[in-house]
Amino acid sequence: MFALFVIAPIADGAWISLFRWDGVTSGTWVGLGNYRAAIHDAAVRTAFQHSLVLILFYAVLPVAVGLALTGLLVHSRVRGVAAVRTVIFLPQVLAAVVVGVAWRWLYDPEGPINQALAAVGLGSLRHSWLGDLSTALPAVGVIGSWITTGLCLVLFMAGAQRIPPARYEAARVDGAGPVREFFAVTLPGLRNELAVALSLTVIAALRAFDIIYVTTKGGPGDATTVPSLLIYTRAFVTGQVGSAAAIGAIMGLLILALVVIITRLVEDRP
Amino acid sequence: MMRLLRVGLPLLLLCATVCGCGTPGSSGGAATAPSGPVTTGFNTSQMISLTIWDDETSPGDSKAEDQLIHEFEQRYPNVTVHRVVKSFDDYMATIKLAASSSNPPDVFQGNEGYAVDQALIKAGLILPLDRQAAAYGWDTRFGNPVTLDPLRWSADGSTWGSGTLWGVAQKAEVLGVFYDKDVMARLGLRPPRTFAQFQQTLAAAKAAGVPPVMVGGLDRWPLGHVFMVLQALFERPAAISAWAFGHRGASFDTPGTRRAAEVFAQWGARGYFENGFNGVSQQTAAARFAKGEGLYFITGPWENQTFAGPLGNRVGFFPMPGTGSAPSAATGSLSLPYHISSRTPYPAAAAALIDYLTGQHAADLLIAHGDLPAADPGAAALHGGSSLAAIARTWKQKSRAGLLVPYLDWATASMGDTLFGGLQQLSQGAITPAQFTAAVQKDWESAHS
Repeated sequence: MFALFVIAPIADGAWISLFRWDGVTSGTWVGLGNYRAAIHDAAVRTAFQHSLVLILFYAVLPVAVGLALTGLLVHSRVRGVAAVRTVIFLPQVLAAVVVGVAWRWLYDPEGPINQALAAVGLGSLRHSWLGDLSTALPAVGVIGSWITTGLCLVLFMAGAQRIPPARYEAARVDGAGPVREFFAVTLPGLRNELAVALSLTVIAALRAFDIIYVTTKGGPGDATTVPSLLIYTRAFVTGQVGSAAAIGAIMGLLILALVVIITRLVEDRP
Repeated sequence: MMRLLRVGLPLLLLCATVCGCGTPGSSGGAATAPSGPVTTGFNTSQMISLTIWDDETSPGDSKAEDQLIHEFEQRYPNVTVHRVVKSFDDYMATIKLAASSSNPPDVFQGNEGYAVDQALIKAGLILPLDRQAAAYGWDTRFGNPVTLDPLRWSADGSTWGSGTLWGVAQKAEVLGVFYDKDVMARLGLRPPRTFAQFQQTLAAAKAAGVPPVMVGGLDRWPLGHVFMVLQALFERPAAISAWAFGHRGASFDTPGTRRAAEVFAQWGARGYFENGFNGVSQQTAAARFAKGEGLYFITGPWENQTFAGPLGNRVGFFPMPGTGSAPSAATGSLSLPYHISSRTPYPAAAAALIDYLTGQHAADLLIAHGDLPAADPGAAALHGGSSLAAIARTWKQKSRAGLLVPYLDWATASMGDTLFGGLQQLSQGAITPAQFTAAVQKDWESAHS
């Protein structure tokens, strides 16, 4: 089953990437030509640079926020922690299209975010968030953070609850404050969860498509184009299926490499 | 990792040899053009099932389509028609795959240009319709014969704009200016008769705090329509057509087109588009115009119902007035063409269905649903003060006089991205008009070299 539904499509994609093919008529063999063209293509480079920025928003920021919240919540006896966790996790459950449409509305020049800014006297900060060349990519990134933070938090909370209470007691006996305790006990105890969270969110950042497709379609200009959007346009709109498959292959290899690096770095393995 | 490679690579290679072998897409062959006379009839004794794909998602158009299909089935009880509707983006992303699948729809809409229609013709997926056109009178149905040029390609699909007819359309599109009569009166303005007057109304609205031109730049393509309306004023129509059809030697980097880009950039710099327009979706912008929040909305007849629904006769329409005394050109064409699959078992019934969907009766029905038909509607539809009557008059005048120019994003498969993305940048002053026209021409040359 795995071979049929996972390996076979991958192999087929790799095979197609060696052709110049418009998707309907017969293709022409070009060998590695599509890969060479992709590497020298300014549009592809820009797209991968945008992906790096998105990693910041999809992975780095949510992991940091998730860790901080875990440190705060892990011992709290405050009621409502479960409710907070559920609310923060909720974006994971929503369909990306719904999320995209909702944020498109939130970001509108006359939308709630700008109205709220005006209401608290920050009217000068009112902005066309998705329409401005300089803010569009961060604005899309924030949507990503909003989605993946919940995943990180839930992973870390679950992990933190498995850390033996004895370690915390030991730390306290040694006179560690909450901050020392976090770095000495909680963080090391979450290594595996950290690796999983980083892998999942980095993959999400590199594959980011649905949110961008629904909100900006890569615009304004090329301010929010990402590799997966290029793949989509080339495969289904402009009839460059070979080129799309080549970018897909490059993206797949990049993701594989990053995940291997993350796992090596973070996980405590010999 | 090494273990993964040791196991994975051979597995990949094995799969590539087992399932990937062969050139992709090589199974499709060119259609053999059937010969012999075609009549308007088809076998009415045999049970026929037709599948039709279209993108008529707006409520009025969709209702009209359903009604026409229903009437067709009533008229020919042996025919059952299954309709599949998808929104434009989904439709364009899937139609080539559907048409080349083992079970293609019998009748489906394509799209003028290299991205869809040329690919369909080159792959032999649709039937040439010259004989059907002669039998049904399609070649004279749409006024001036040049109106059908965007649906004509050479038999091998290499040259666009002349040759064999590959489809016919139900509706027509012509870009122009919707205006809010109440807002205009409140500003003490009258509908402009020259482009200079039009510019004055923009400045007057801006000074009074009314958004002069509403446009949803977030969706990218709406800015393209604003630009096309300007280019049609400053560039020769024949030059625009030659460029859009991809004819050798045509250029976008010309004084006329640069002038249009300068005016467009000025509109952006002077704040003639509504606040933050590049972050506003076209749907939101249209909804705001329909609530009376702006003076102008530059678009085509497909939005007429959006505005005329809530505003009624308060909304008007005029073609963009020219820079001189001569009548100006306008961007416009037939809407998405209906094609017949080369693999349908029922080409004659499919042709009869297309004829019914694009005929005089369909025209009257579309007018009743507030959209602009391709075929001439009854004379009554052209009179009166409604925006639709003004649109129908504009279409008739421009199409009869040969003053229609094609959509610019037809020029290459990737032109939509290049042109619309460039306009988003131009509207914010991120690139200059000359950089814009040069970048667009570069895309064109890489596709047509």
